[in-house]
Amino acid sequence: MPSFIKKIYSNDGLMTSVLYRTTADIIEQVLGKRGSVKSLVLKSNYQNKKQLYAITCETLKYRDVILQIIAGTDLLRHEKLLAKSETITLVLLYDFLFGRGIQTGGQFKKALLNHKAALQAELARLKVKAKVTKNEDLLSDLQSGSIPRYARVNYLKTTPQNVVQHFQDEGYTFSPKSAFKQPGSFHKAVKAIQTMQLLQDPHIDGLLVFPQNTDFHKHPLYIDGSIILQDKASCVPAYVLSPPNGSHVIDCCAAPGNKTSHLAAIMANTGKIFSFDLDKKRLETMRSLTSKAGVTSAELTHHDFLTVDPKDPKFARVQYMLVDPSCSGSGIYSRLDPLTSENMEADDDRLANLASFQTKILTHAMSFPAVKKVVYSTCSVHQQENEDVVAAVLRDHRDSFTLDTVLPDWPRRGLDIFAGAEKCARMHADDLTNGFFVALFSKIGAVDIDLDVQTENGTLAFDGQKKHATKRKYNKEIAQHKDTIDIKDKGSKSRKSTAKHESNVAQNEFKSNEEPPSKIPKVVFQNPQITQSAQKRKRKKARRKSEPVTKTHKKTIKRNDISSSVANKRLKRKSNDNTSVVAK
Amino acid sequence: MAVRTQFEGNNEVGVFAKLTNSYCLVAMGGSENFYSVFEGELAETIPVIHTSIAGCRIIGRMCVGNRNGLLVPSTTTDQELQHIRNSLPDSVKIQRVEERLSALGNVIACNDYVALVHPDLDKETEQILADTLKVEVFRQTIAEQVLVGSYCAISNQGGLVHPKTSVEDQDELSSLLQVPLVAGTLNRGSEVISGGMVVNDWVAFCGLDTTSTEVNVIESVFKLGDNQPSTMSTQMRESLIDSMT
Repeated sequence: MPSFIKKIYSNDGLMTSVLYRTTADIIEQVLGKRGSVKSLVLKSNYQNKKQLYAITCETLKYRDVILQIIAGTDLLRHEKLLAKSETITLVLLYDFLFGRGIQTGGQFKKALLNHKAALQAELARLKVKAKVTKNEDLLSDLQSGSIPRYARVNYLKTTPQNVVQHFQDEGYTFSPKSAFKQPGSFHKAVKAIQTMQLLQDPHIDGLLVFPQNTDFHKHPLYIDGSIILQDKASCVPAYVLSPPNGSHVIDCCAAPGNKTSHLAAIMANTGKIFSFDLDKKRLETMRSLTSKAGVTSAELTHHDFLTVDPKDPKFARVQYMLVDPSCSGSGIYSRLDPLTSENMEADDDRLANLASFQTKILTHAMSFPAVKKVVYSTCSVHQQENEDVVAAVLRDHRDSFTLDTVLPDWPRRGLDIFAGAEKCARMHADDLTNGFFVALFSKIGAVDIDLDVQTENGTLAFDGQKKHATKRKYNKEIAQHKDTIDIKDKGSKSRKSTAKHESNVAQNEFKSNEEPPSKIPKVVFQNPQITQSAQKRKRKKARRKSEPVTKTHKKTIKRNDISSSVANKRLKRKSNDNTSVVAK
Repeated sequence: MAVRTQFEGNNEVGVFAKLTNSYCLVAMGGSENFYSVFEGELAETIPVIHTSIAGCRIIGRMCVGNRNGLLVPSTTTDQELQHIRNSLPDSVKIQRVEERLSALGNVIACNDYVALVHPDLDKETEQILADTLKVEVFRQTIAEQVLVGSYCAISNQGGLVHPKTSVEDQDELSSLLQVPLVAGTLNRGSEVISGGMVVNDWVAFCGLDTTSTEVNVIESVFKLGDNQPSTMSTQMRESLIDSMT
């Protein structure tokens, strides 16, 4: 046979054997922790990335099963060829037993086919032992990837109603959260989720649940930033913090920016978010991600948060801190970690290092003068990084910070190793999310620098704080300003009264596309573009006229349309505060 | 149903015959009585082939087969092979295998879907077995005996295993085979199960010494005959419904 014919003839076999080899290479690197599956697949020269990614993930998924089969049949002892490259055997066996069947010719196929009967028998035996009939059932819950796909509606771009409508037009069936009132019904519904089905998450506002294998990468809503693919767990910290509109917030370790964009959405792009990250490359990704999401209130800085000066006047009004430091990532199942790490047992040294870093960063965050609330979260399941850090920090700040209860309805609480650990919340794959931990600190005797309480005293308090950097002096100062405290109390009372209203509105959220009830004045007092003095002027104006619904209403109504119901809620709160002051 | 018979005064029927769902082999040189028992039960449905393998009469221990095929040891002569091939239905493949453990019937037990084999069986034989008989092959022991072919008899309906098989082993085996199993004896207490009997999906032949208790066990586990609980209940139901209408 002429050589060129031979070449064409063997072309297909050649391609596939390239696929197997490439996959084996990637798996070896992933196992050696030299990169993630995704990045390695994208880096490889193989043309059909989708195919490569699929076979890599699947092989990793079935790795434990295949290794058992190899051990059970003593394959590597019998076939010297396969013994030479164990990983390629893994890939071949995956395709042979679970995939499309061996697609390559040559010596590998021959070697494997010699043992066909034994291999199949061993697989059958494993299934019998596990008392299952289907191959998929051999995988543990974790490996079969039972975590569904979560998508957060970006309130900066659209509303849940629009998004749901869009998906319904595509043929999705939608179940609102009102369908999950019974405990456990949501869990059941997610477990049984089918393709073309869409659920509303009952815990987190604006979060939608899709089947695990939904492909969004070409979806128009994803491309225009209307929905953001973000696991439920990582939506929690921003949701727990929920800074009111106009606040100043620091996101300590911001990349890849999902939490920053969530914060911006909660605050309807008002106020200011200072985002820090150490990694320039990741910060660049974040920049594109946040701009796609329409975030305008965030200031991204490539800087180590630990070296940021808390006394910088720039941060004098920062009351909210989102601390989500680097962690072992042991909770992230979707990163294929459990597929690659032999066992999940932690490397103690590494954990100790991480924990000390996390403690440092949390302490640093608490040292900011105006700070009122600090949310601490990790995507780790290890106690060392979670409860231990919180306990240690709490011990050092016994007089200044307390823990607040987060997600009161969430059943899985912090591990009971210190008093108050039940105020923290944990998440786990059993909750159909990645593993996660979240704790909320609030400052004892923190003074509201509520940007919309425009009394002289309010401003005074703010000034006072600026002048007296030391905490004690500052507190004394506050004590003298009785009026300030009065106002604060009133503020909190009116907040309580609005809380009821909020919950009512929240229930109606998906029912009506209408604007909120008219008795709630829709005024945005804060606009990121407006300078402070301009703000003050505007406020004065508003106060003088003693009717909060004024020109500003018209100006902001456009924004109201696109901004979220969350934003609306904040607005309500703001305006109520304001009216109470005005009444006085 | 289960039939009691004898080969030349010998109760070990399974040694001198091989029975599957599509053919039956019987050893040459027996009495006409032996053949007529088989032919009387089977001749209308499947061929009963008189043959020897490698010149021996112990054909039940030499070969292994099911509905799909038949494996014979390498010592089988060409003439015998030709004769068997001519007599077998066309759908049945016959294959000679080079196997050190040449008494295939003693080291392999199979029904139409699963085969249990001696742990030391050759890889190649295992492969041929899987391809020719279209079965899944499991290396296994029964009651710590490696001669799995001797100590159990299985059909697609059920199986009888060595009386000393532990309950755990029975559970494992029955989940591998996907049929119910019973530990028991035949021929008045013999534990060499498939030496004493041959069985397919509708009939079994066992030694003349087999007690009626043993026959009962055999009939119920292999679901032979009319005395099945299920048939009883259907009959009962019919009569009940009759009386009620």
